[in-house]
Amino acid sequence: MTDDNFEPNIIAFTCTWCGYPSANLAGVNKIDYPANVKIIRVMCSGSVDPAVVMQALERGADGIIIIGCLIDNCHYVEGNKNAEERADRLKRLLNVLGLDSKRIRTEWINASERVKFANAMREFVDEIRELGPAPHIPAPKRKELTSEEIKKEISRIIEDTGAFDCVECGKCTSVCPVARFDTEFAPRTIVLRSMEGITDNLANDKDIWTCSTCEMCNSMCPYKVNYSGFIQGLRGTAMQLSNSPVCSQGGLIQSAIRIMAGADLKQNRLDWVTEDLEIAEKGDVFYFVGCLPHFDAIFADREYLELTRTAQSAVKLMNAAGIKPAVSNEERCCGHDLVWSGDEENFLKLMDKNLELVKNSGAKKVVFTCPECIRTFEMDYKDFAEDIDFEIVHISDLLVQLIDEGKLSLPSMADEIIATYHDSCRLGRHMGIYDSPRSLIESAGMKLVEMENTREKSACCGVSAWLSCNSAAMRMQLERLEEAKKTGAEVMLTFCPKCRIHLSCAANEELPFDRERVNIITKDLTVALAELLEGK
Amino acid sequence: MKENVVVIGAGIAGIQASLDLADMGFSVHLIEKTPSIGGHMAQLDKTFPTNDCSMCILSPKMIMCAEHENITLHTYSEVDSIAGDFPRFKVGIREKARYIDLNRCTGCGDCVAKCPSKVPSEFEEGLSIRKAIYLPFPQAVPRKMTIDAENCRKIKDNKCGVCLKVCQAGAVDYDQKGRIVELDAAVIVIATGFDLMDATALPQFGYGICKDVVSSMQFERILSASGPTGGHLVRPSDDKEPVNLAFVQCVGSRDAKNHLYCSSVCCMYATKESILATEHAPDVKITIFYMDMRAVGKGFQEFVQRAKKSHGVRYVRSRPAKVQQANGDNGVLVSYETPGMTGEPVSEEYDMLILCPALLPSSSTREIAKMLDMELDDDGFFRTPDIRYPTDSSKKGILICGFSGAPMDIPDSVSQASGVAARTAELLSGGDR
Ligand code: SF4
Ligand code: SF4
Ligand code: SF4
Ligand code: SF4
Ligand code: SF4
Repeated sequence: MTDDNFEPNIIAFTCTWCGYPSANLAGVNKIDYPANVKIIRVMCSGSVDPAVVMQALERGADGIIIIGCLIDNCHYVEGNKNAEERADRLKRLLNVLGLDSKRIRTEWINASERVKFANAMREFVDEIRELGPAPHIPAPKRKELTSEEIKKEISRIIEDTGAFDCVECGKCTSVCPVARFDTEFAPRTIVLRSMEGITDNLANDKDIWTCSTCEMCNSMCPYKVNYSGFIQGLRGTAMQLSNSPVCSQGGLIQSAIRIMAGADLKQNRLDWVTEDLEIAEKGDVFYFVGCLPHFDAIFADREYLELTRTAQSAVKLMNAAGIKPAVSNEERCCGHDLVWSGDEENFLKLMDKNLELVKNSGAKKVVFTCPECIRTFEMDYKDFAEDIDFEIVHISDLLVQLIDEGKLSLPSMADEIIATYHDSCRLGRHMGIYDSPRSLIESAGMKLVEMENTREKSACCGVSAWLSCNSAAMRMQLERLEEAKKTGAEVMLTFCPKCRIHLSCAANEELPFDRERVNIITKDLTVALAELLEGK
Repeated sequence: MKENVVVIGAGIAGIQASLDLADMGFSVHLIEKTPSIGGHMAQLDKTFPTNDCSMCILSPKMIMCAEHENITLHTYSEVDSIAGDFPRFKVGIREKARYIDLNRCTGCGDCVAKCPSKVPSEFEEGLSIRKAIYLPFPQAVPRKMTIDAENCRKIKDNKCGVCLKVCQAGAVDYDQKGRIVELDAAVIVIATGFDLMDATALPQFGYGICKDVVSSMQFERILSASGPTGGHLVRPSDDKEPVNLAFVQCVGSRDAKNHLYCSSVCCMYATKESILATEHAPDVKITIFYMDMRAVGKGFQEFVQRAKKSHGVRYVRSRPAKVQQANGDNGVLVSYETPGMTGEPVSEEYDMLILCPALLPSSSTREIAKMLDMELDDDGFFRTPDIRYPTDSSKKGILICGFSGAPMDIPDSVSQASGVAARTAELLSGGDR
């Protein structure tokens, strides 16, 4: 590292039974170890939430060391094993992010092993000193808003989103999937409060985070109020008032995304690229992969989701049609989850980086598999940035076009599969893409059976932007799975990786009813199509 | 005799305009596309806010039209062409073949009794059937039969021919041809009225999906003593008397995705129909889902008050978003949000649901506008650009009254109609400023 004076900031999480006593004993015995280490005592190494580790790295720590009892000697039997497993997943994530997996370390030390403790600290500090500082992200700046300014800001949001036209008819609440299960939540009353100038509650209004931004209400509102836009606006303002959301995964994912908004990172986003895939550095067509590699690391315990296979499949399909797409290791998260969590500042940083990247690639067309990424480019980027002159296409539209032009042909399936298709809210209601996925399913020779709520009426997976994952969301997910199961389909196809993550989450819970009711495989449609090429 | 005036549309507005003009000495040609004059008002049971019998007001006016020496009726007729300018228009009227000699038919109805071809009755909004040879409703003017060629077995397939045999008057003529009548007209009055929006376009409200969801016009017929149920309040699915009724206002109107304007009469007629329903069946409980109670007019607010106080009508300020079949085949489940600050989504069961669909400028309005190359406003009504002459269209000598110019109720249509008559006299006496 170039900076010779760099002194790393190290956080050590020590368990109360072995880790902490060993540190204590090192002190009592006057055994030296570097002052860089700040010790935080926890009951068990297994109680260290990965989100806390991530947040520490985001906000100033350069290395994290977790110290627990010797394996098989955990006071809580398996706590340290859990910690180990989590640390492994975090390391994978750090690796993708380009933070270097060495920044996280686990050590299993007996209460009496004071020397081992001191040595471990010394070694770790040296190692991190060698690595240099982690790219810290300052906490978002808060403007000090006066109540007049808040009022003004809310008026602007009301104007911009057409909420001014709201007649308080309540259709939004009657169709809102969240309101159905969470009786405290009523979208109409949020508009009503804002319209009546009741703004003092914005600083602690939890309702604005409860909305899943599924746009069911947008599609129903007789006065075309852009309700999701209204919520997005309020969230941005609420953040200024330090009203922040409760994030699922403890905010781990938001932290990771914010890290992507920061400094130069030596990311490893392209590990999924296998030799058989033809990709380019520059070219007419850019494939924006999104955060599949990150989710693959975070949800490594659900290997069956095979998230990065989506990216591989997309490239395979494009290759089959003679397209060699550009993909980039420098890509950043599109920022969807930040803009919907009210963090406009970091969102804009991500946007600038991605737009610059696309520009430098010379692409005329950017292809997306992720419904959230395409929505973010098509709507949010276009909202915030002016010079977007490339075409934004979803893989489903692209494939349909390629098939129509005779450039791609999908071999038909040997045995006809019965499939149902889940319109994710982003691809469906937000983007209006309903037909291409269906036509692909049919050209692949599958038999498509529709769920009760489909297309514009499609039920949402319940969670968006990793917010408000709660019992209402869980019930929405189970209901959706049940709907899919009822069609008699063997598989539920979709394009949204997050829908699959959320739905798998619900299906893995302990259920008060027979699991068979919701037991259906979900599969990415891109993957299903690429499998045809492979003759599966 | 003074100049010719052509009145297009024989609803209450067209009828009133014709009578006033005829009384002033103009020679009026009243064109109506259906077999009888009368329009929608003939379908109504009562009128708000006094609950007067609609037909008792309308029927004498219809008869006066038929008998007035200055009025020529062209029923079952459509405008074929319009040319020229004020005050020398040329109007072509296409009198469709009704396969009946109007001079011979006595209206005895023997033919109807024997006709085997059954069709849903337009006048009864599909709630009962009529025959292929028919009188649209008992008080029809002219009281003469019409054969609807599309459903007549003789005309279509050369099969039946029964009516010819039973008709003692020799009025049936299967070979009758339509004809075009050419007229000069100094002024043209347009009174083409409204159509009900087809609520099947809004599947969220369950019309055409749930049996017990009806339109307000259908409900009007159910309430009518001369209607398909003889004035018994029963629901379609099982002919049982409903206990719990609900109305949904603004179905397709005040809706930026359908029709942004307010149809202007639904709040009041829903109130009227509620009061009538409780008079028919005193135990019935009524809920009206509304947006804003638009009770602007003499005695209107009091009328609403009366519905609330004396008839127990419950007004809920909310717009249901979903109507589903309740358990089984009968009744419906209505999902809406409770009004107020807490707002909870709830679902309630009702025995029957009445939709108040948007009232749209009629299809004839569009056809006539096209024929005349006249401007319609964004909502499809005729433009009446000069605020000083509210019945003047964008073309001189073509006057608008009633619903084809703007949503309005019966009294407003009638006063506009009289206004049109006065305006005609003014224009033709050269007194135009
Ligand atoms: S549906 Fe639209 S108009 Fe109705 S209350 Fe909700 S936001 Fe307002
Ligand atoms: S966007 Fe979806 S979750 Fe949010 S208020 Fe509307 S319907 Fe409810
Ligand atoms: S929105 Fe797209 S790019 Fe952003 S985190 Fe999600 S999948 Fe990744
Ligand atoms: S057509 Fe003949 S039978 Fe029929 S009503 Fe007229 S007169 Fe009577
Ligand atoms: S000829 Fe036509 S109108 Fe006459 S009885 Fe037969 S079906 Fe009816």
